[in-house]
Order: sequence, then C-alpha cells, then structure tokens
Amino acid sequence: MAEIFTGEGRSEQVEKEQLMQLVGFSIGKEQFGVDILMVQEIIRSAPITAVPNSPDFVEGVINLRGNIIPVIELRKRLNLYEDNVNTDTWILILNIEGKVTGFIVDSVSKVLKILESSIEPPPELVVAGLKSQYIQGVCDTGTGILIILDFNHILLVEELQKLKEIA
Amino acid sequence: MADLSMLPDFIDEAVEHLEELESSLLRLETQREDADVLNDIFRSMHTIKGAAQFVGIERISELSHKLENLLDNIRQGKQELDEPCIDLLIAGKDRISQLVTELEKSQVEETEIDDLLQRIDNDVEPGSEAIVEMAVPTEIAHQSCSLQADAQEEEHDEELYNIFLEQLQEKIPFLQSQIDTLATTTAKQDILTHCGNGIKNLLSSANYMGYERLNQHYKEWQIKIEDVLTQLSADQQPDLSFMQSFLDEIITVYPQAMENITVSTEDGITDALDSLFSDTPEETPQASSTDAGADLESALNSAFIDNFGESSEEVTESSTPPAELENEALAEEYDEELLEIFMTQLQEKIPFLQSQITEIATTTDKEEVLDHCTKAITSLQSSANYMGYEKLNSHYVHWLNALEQARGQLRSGQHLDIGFMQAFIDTINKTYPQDTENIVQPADDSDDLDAALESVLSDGFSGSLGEIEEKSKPELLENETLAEEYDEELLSIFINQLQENIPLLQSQIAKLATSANKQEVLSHCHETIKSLYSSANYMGYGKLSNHYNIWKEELKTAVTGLQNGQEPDLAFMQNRIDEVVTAYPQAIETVTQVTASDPDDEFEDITETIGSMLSVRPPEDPVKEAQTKENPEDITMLPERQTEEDDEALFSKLSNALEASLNQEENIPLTPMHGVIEEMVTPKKVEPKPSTPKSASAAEPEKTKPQQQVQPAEKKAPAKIKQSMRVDTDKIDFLMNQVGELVVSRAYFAQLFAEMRGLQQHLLDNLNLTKSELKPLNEFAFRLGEAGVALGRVSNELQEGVMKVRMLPIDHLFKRFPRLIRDLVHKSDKKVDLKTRGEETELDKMVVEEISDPLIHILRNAVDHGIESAEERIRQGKPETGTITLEAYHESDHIVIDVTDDGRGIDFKRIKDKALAKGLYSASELNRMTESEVKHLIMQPGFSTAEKTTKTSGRGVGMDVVKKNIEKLNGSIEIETTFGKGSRIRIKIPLTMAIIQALMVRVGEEKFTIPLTSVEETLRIFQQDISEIEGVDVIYIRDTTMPIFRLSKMFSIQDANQDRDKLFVVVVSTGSSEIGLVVDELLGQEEVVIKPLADYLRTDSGFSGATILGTGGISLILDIPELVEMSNANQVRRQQKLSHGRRVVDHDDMEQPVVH
Repeated sequence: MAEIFTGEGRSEQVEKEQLMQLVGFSIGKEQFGVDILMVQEIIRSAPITAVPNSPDFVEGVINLRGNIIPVIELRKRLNLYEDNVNTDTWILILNIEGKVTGFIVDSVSKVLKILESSIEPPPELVVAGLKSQYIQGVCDTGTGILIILDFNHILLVEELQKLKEIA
Repeated sequence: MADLSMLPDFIDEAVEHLEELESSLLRLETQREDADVLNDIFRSMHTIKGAAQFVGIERISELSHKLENLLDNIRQGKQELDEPCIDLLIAGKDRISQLVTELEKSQVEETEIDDLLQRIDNDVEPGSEAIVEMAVPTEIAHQSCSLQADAQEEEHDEELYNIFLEQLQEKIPFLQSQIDTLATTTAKQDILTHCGNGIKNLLSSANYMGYERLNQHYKEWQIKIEDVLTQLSADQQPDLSFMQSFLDEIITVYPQAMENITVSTEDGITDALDSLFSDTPEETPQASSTDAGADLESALNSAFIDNFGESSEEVTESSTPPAELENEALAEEYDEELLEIFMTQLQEKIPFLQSQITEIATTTDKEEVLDHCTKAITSLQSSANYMGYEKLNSHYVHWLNALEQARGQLRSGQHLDIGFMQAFIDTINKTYPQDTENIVQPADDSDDLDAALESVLSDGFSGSLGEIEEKSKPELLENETLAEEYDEELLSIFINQLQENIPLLQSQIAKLATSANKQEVLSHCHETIKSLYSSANYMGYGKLSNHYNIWKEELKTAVTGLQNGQEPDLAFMQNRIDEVVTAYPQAIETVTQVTASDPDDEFEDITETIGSMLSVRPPEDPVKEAQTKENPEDITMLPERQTEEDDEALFSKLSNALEASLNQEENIPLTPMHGVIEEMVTPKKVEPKPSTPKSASAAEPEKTKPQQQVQPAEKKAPAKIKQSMRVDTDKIDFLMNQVGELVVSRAYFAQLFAEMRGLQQHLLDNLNLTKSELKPLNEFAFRLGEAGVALGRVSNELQEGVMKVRMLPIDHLFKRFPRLIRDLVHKSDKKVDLKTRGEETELDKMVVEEISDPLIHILRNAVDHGIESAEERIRQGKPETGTITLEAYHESDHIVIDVTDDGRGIDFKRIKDKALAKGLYSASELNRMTESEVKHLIMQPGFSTAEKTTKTSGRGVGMDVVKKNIEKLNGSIEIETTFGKGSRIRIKIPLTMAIIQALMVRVGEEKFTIPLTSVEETLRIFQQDISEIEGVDVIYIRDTTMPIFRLSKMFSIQDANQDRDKLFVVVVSTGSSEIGLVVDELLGQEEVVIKPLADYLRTDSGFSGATILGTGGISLILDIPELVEMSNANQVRRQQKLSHGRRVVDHDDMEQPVVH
C-alpha cells in the first residue's frame, strides 16, 4: 500500500522528502484520500444493476466497457451516518490488487500532494465513527483532517462473507 | 543450481514425456517381450534425464538416471522384467511426475527419492554395478573406459551430439594451447583460470548430453585445478602434468575433437594442406607457404570437384583428395550463410591483423598490440572452429602459441621477432584469396603479396577503387566471380538483375545508333547502369562496381557532349557492355535471341526470356567453367558448353543441375553426420586416426550400417508432427472476450432492427403515411437487416474460430485413464479392460480440465462397485474380463461423454434401503419415488459417505461432487442402469464455458438469464392452478406435482402485479429434481457471453455470473442448481417448522404460500 510517488516531487518546496499523491474525496462532511496509483478512473454515476441476495453495502454491478464491476456504497460499508442523501454521486473505480471495484462517494476533489512524513498512523480512538482498521493513516491538510483509507482491508473477502451472513 | 527461467519449458517438456512414458509402461506390462516399447521408454527417460540435468534439477536427474540404468540392464537382458520391476519403473515414473508437479508449484523438489534409489540399486544385479557406479577418479584407465561407455551412448541425438562435438573441438585445442603455454608462462594462475572456464563450459555441455562419466571427469579436473590454484597462491610449485593427462584422456575417447592437433603430429600425410598448416613459425615461412598455398588451392579444388561432381556426370573423379580435406570441404558447403559470416569476419580481421603487425614495428607498447592480435586470432579461431575448419583452426592455434611465445620473449626482454605473424597471415590469405578481393593471383613472392594486401587495405578501408589498373579489367571481373558463391540467394538476385538490365542496355545501345533523341536514350542507360552499379556494390564486387562507375562517368561526358551539340563517340558503350558480358555471359544469353528477332517486339521477347531464365536457377559463368579447377566453392556449377543456340539442351541441363543441387542440399547435412557417427563407433582405436570414415566403416560395417538406417527414420519423424505453438492463455482469453463483445454488438444490431420495424409500423399506423412515402425507410430497414445478418455471419465464424483455438482433443484426458484403471485393478481380483472411443472429439481446454476429476470418480466407481470380481463374473456367465467403455461424441452444441460398464448395475432396492437407513427419506416417500428419482438419490450429498465406508455394491462415492462439478460447467449427468447387466453414465457438457445459449426472462424491471441447458420447458399457468402442499406452492403437471417459486420473491424484487391471473413458469431441472420458476415475461432465447462476478457476489447468491445485454445493461445469470438447493433448503426448513406445529412467517423465507 505504501507506494511512494517520487517523480515530480522536486518542483515542490520540499525537495528531498517523499511525496504521496492522493485522490481526495468526501462522504458527507468527511474528507478521505486514496493513493492515486490505485485509482483506475473516476466516473459519473452509471446505471447500476442490483444483485439480489448480496451484502447490503453492495449497490450492484455496472458495465464498465464490457467488464462487470461490483459497486460498493462506501458510506454503508464504513457505516458512516447518513445525512441528506446525495443523488449526485461519483463512482471511484479502484484497482485493489487486481480486483477492480467501484466505490460510490459523494464528491471527488483534486489530487493532493502530501508529504509522507506528515501522515500519522491511525489513532486508537474512532475517527469520524470509523473503525481504525479501515484507516491507513490520517493527515492534517490545514483545512481539516484527511483520512487515508486502507481499501485492501475494506475489500477483505472473509469479512465481506461474514457481513453477509449477519445480513 | 536450478535455472528458474528454463523451468517452465522443462516442466512442459517433462510432462509430455511422462505421459508418453506412462502409456509405454502400461504397454510394457502386457507386451514384455517388445523391444520397441522398451526402447520408447528408454528414450523418454533419457530425454527427461538430459533436460533435468541441463536445467539443473537434481533429484529428477538422479532418479531418471538410475531408472535409465535399470532400463538399460533390462534391455541387455541383465535384469529380468518381472512384476516388481515394472512396478518399480512405474513408481519411479510417478515420483518424477510428483517432483515435476512440485517444481511447477513451488520451484522446489520436495519429495525425497532415496527410497526409490535404494530399491533400484537393490534391483540392479551386482554384475552390472560397474555401469551404475561412478568412475573411480584416480584410476585413469578405468575412467577412460567408462568415458568410452559414455561415448557409446552417443547415438541418441545426433544434432545435440554435433553441437557437443563442436564445442569439444573448440575447447580442446584451446585447452591444449593453454597447457602448452602453461609450461612457459609465469602467469600460471591466469592460464589455469582460463582452463577452468573452458572446462566449465565443457562440463555443462557434457552435462546436457547426459554423459555422466565425462561430466565426472571434468568435475575432477576442475577440482584439481582449484587445488593447484590454491597451491599457486601459496607460492608452491604444483605439478601441472595432470592437465595434460586429463586432456589426453578426453582426446583418447573423443579423437575427433583433436583432429586438428593430431594432424600435425601425424606423419605420412603428404597432403599439402596439412604441411601448410602444421608449419611452425620457426620454419622459413615465405617459401614453403607459397608453395603450399598453390598446392592447397589445387587440393581444395579437386576436393570440391570430387564432392560436387557427383551431381554432374561430366566431371571426372580424377583426383582423390585426402579424406580430411574432403570432410572439410563437405562441411564448407553446409551453410552458405555461415560461410559468409565466416568470410566477413576473415575480411575484417585479416586487414586488422595486418595493420597491427605494421604497428608492432613502430609502437613501444608491443604487448598491447600483441594482446589485440591474440584477441583477433582467438575470434578467428572460434569462427573457424564453428565452421568446422579443423586445419584452419589448428593453424590459428599454432599462431596463438607463437604469439604467446613472442609475448614471453617480450617480457624477458628479448628481441621480438614478428616475422611469424606475417607468415601466418600470408598463409591464410593464400588459402582464402577471396577474402581479399583485390588479390589477383596468389603472389609469387611476399613482396607482391604485401602489395596485394596493401591494396586490400586501401580497398577495404578507403573504398577508393581507382588505383586498380583498368587494363586488366576483364580478368579482374572474372576474379571477382570467385567471391560470388557465398550467398546463393543474393547472387541469384544479382544475376537476375544483370539479366534484366544487360539486355536492356543492349537494346538501348542498338537504339542509340538510330534514335534522334540520343540524350534521352543515354539518360535511360545511365539509370540502368546506376542500378547495376548499386547491386554490384551491394554484392561487394569492387571491380565490377568500379567498372560501372567509370562507365557512368563516360556516359556523363557523352551527355554533356551531346548537350554542347557535339556528336560523341558512343563506341565505349558497346565496349563496356561487352566487358560485363564476358565476365557474366549468362546475362547475355537472353540477348542472343533478341537480336535475331524483330526489333518491334524485342522488349516482350526479352521479358519472356527473362521469365524463362528466372524459372530456373541462373546458370553459372561458362568462362568460369574453364576455371573450374581453381574455383572450388562453386556449388551449383555444372559444366556448360558455350553453344548458346542449343537452348533446349541448356534448359534441360539447367533443370537437372537445379535438381541435383537441391538433392545435394538435402543430403549435405546428413553426410557429415554420417562421418560423425562412423567416428563415434571407433573410439577404441588406440592411435587416434581422425576422420577416416572409410576405414572405420570397413572395420565395423555391422555397427555402422544400422545406425545409418536409423538416422533417416529419425529425421523424418519430426516432419510429420503438426506445427503448433504455445500461446499464453491470457491472450486467448482476451480474444475470446472481444469476440464476446462482438456477439453482444450483434445482438444489439438485431435489437435495433426490431426497433426499426416497430418505428415503421408506428409510422404506417399512426401518421397515415402511404407505403410509397415509407419506401425509403423500408429500404433502409431492409439494408440494416442485411448488414446485421452479415455481421452476424462474420462474428459467428470468428467466434467459432477463436473457440477452436481453445479446443483440445479429449484424448488428452482419456490417455490418463488406462493408468487409473490399472492401479485400481492392480491388487484386486478383477480384470478390467478399458476401451476408449472418439478420442479426437475436441472441447474447450478449460472444460477438459474441469471434467477430469468427475470422470475419475465415475471410472473409480465403475471399477470398485460396478465390475464384479473375475470369479463372480464367470459364475454369472459373463466374460471374465469386465469392459468399461469411454466414449466421447458431439451432440449439437454439446459434447457427450458416456461411461459404460458391463458390471452389476445399480440395485434400486439397496439404494432405497440405504436412504431409509440414513434417515434421508421416509419409507412412504421412497415408495412413491420413480426409478429416475431413486437413481438421483445416489447423487445427493450425504448419501455417498455410507457407501464409501461399507464398500458394498452400488454407486455413490462422491457422486454428489461429480454432479456439482458437472453442473458448474452447465452440464448435466444422467444414469442408465440395468441391474445385473451394467450401467451407463452420460455426461453432457457444453463445448465451451464462455458463451452459452440462454433464455432471457424479465422479473419486475430486471432481466435475468437462465442457461438453456437447465430449461426443460416453459409453461403458462393460471393462478388457480397453484395449490399449496406443506407450505410450498405446487402445480400439477403430467400427473405429478412440481414446486414453483416466484423469482420476484426469491430476489426481493418489487412486483407490480403480483396477483396477476396468468403466470409464466420456466421449468428448470438439475437432473434430479425439477422446479418451476415464476417470471413476469419470457423475452426469448439468446446467445450470451458469461462474465465473471466478484466472489462475494457469486457464492450463495443464486447467480453464477452476469452478461451484458445488447443495450449495455447487465443481466445476471441464474445458477439453477444453487437456486434449487436454496429452495430445497427452505422447503426442508419450512416443513420442519410445520411439523413442529409452529407456523412462523419469516421474512427470510424465500417462498411464501400465496394467499388465495
């Protein structure tokens, strides 16, 4: 996960330190980030076909140029509180160790460059009602706290199975 | 150390050979006397061993080596081929297979082989131990004898052997020279390291060839050298004589490797060539090498005439060349391309060396120059070696030695005599005059030679060709033809061009006399000459291109003259062309006809003649014919009279020559090999007399003959093998995916067309347009339809084609089974004969892999439970040997595999008893069951275990697994059985798993896909047809009840008109049970491409995958077996609840009784 982007870091004010490029997105009021190297593409909402008998957070599947890709409602997956339901959503297509999966998020912000050293390990305490196991690290951007998510964990199959059994 | 990069190839190869090995072993069991089978086994084992050693896989190579020894003993009759022996062989094969599998999985050999090695050792009789045991290192006599044993194993692969030998020939002289220098040099350590490297190379090649003892020999040698190196570094003076003895030993066994060296020591050889090459630098080189050079030429010539003369009767076999030379000459024509490379190198290095020699006189850093020379000579040596020119090679070796001595002199401060260098170069120049185009004739004295060399240098480096005297141009051109034959292909292109352009020029010149517009004609000529010039240049014919160049200049002057209004003398045109024609008379052949014919259609004539010329191989220069004796390399040449009028005769001769040369080309690779084989069988000769094939074959005619016969057979075999290539499955999958997309687009086209029809109808009905107004639209719709059909046709064919790429004959699967049956029957009282039919039936590779396990299960059942013991069979009046038949055949889009046995069949009563005893069903339920339902009982999970433990009659071991696996492939399984007579299990699977025929249905807003293989029928029922039994909706159909389930309920889909009166029911079957699925609408049959779903969406969801619709939407594919299971589970749960009297309405329940 800790993939480091070193290519264009030089032009920034800090030259030698390693920069990490993140795609920032938000769900509700929370700001999240994901390593840019994992992001395959970002699409506007596509027609989603529901899959019956699937876990609650699986919104369905979409047809991405001939490939059928599951789409997960990240809000539900992370058990984030649901305020006013945003219909104008985006789908973040991530390649998580070969498993291409779509995640529904509220909005996608710009690409963020963050010093690797400024990323702190997830706090013991729950951040924004989120279990720390899904968090790779947090980072203060000045405008608020950015949560870098651990998507490998979010897509852990055993857990998905378990969740499904409960559901 | 295993080379991981080669591992996949090794595994592929090994698997193939192991398969072969297995079938051969099984054959061996029944035909123990059959030597062919034994040889097959031996060959397979040997190949595995060789490959394993090459890649460095220790256990496999060791085990296969032992097995090979065992096989060899069997072959020689030292070991009896009894039951335990075959078992041991099979166990060995299995162990190798296991090791290969482990290698494939983890790149490491995990399983131990010591137990088997022990068994093999015990089996091998004491008398043969000498062969098994490694040679004792210290006993050189013993060792060489065992090395010889190695040499005798040689015949397995001639090609490999040749490579091996080549390497030997390269390294041994090198080692010899190193050892020689070792005595004189002070830098012993360096030399020894070099030797060590050389031996390492040899070791790996011996290893690859599987020459165990040779290998061992090298290893000891290496160790020795290491020892010595340590001693040296400790400032001791070690004894280095061991080097020579090690080398000698190899030479004794492989005398052919040393040909080049032993030649020089052999007396009695009067051959000029040899004396030339064995010239040591101390002798007076100038005089002797000049004479030798001349002799050499004639010797070479006669050798060639002798060899090639066979193709043309006219050449007399007057001269008898020495055997060695013949060999070399034979090797020479081997590969023109190689020869060209060789010559290029020669042409490159010789001037370089020449320049180095001049430098050495002036430079202070003589040692560096010497180093350069050594490098150049070494590379020349290796190229000569590669070409198999042994004498040349030894010449280089001597040269290198001389250089080394010179270096020694230099170091010890002595005066450096570099005269030998020039002598060596001169010798080579004379032997290969063609490497220096400008050398007219071998010079009579060294001054001339030097001058010639100078001109070579100026020609080669500055490219200025002007200095060469023009007066002797025709001769020079002729000389160039010497260089011509290097590349037949290029040459023929060159000649073709010549044939095309020369007549053209001739005609232009003829025109010149009459034409008013001389300027235009001349510019045409200029163009033609330019192209001739470039082709000559390309061929590297310096004189010819120079000739053209001058011609061009003259033309230019003429043109300028014309422009200035002068009337230039154009006679030079004819002169020039005559010169070329004299040198290349074949170019003009066409012209003689032309001049006789009408000038008007001369051009057509020319083209015609050229056409006929082109259809045969261009004839060679008749002028050269006179030179034949000096022109040894000419391969296609044949004597040819200059009577050009005699076209008919010429033509036939040409085609004869062509044929002869073709035949020769075919034969060529074989001939030297024969030589090698013959040499191979004569290693016992005490005094190594290299390359004396005639005497060898005379000495041992019986041995030589059969080998020669074997060879062509082996040569032929590969030709029959189908051309195939390994392709990454990913690539094929990608292609398949794309084809799938195309199929989807085609469906979309069909949909568009249907919409178009709808639009037409709409326009007709609602807008009151007349038919004529709609005509353009109708036409367009028609064309759209046509286009759709065309697209459909193409995509269908493409789909079929891509699918065929993935197809494998089922034989791949079937051939595993004889072994399975053998093992099953092996220690039982049963006799089973397995018959296979339809092995050539092809099906998807993935399917082949997937049905392997189910088939094994079924076959095991057939043997374990179906076929009775021999005794029992006799009692029942059946033949003693039971028969199991495996049969594969196509049935429309499916492949059917039948497994039939003539055993005892299935006893229904027993099954019912079992089911009752296991508490699966009640007695009354069982009584109600039909036969087919009872049959399917054995495929229920849970039923099998009891059977397994008791091992009583009937089927059932893992049949539920079988069924599941086959259903995974969208296949079905059926059982037919007659108690006491036998049973037949029929597996029906689709040809491919990627594209299926499916029924599209609509439920609510969603469209679902049901594989057509599961669909039994579709019904239209009314609400009142549904009744409820034990909480489950059922309908009566054909006097029986069938449970029905609403898909909308199962999938929690909002159904707007749930209580509709009419319902569509799709009856699906999993073989054992049928259920009805209630859907809202039937949309029709379609071909769909299966796309995988993420794991967490597939398991227990009732979907096996998804497909993309023509509109771009997604339709989920129903997993019918799983759905049935899910519904059954619910049914059971419901029934349990009912029986407890507690009726709980559970929202999780998939089916709820419809409230009336």
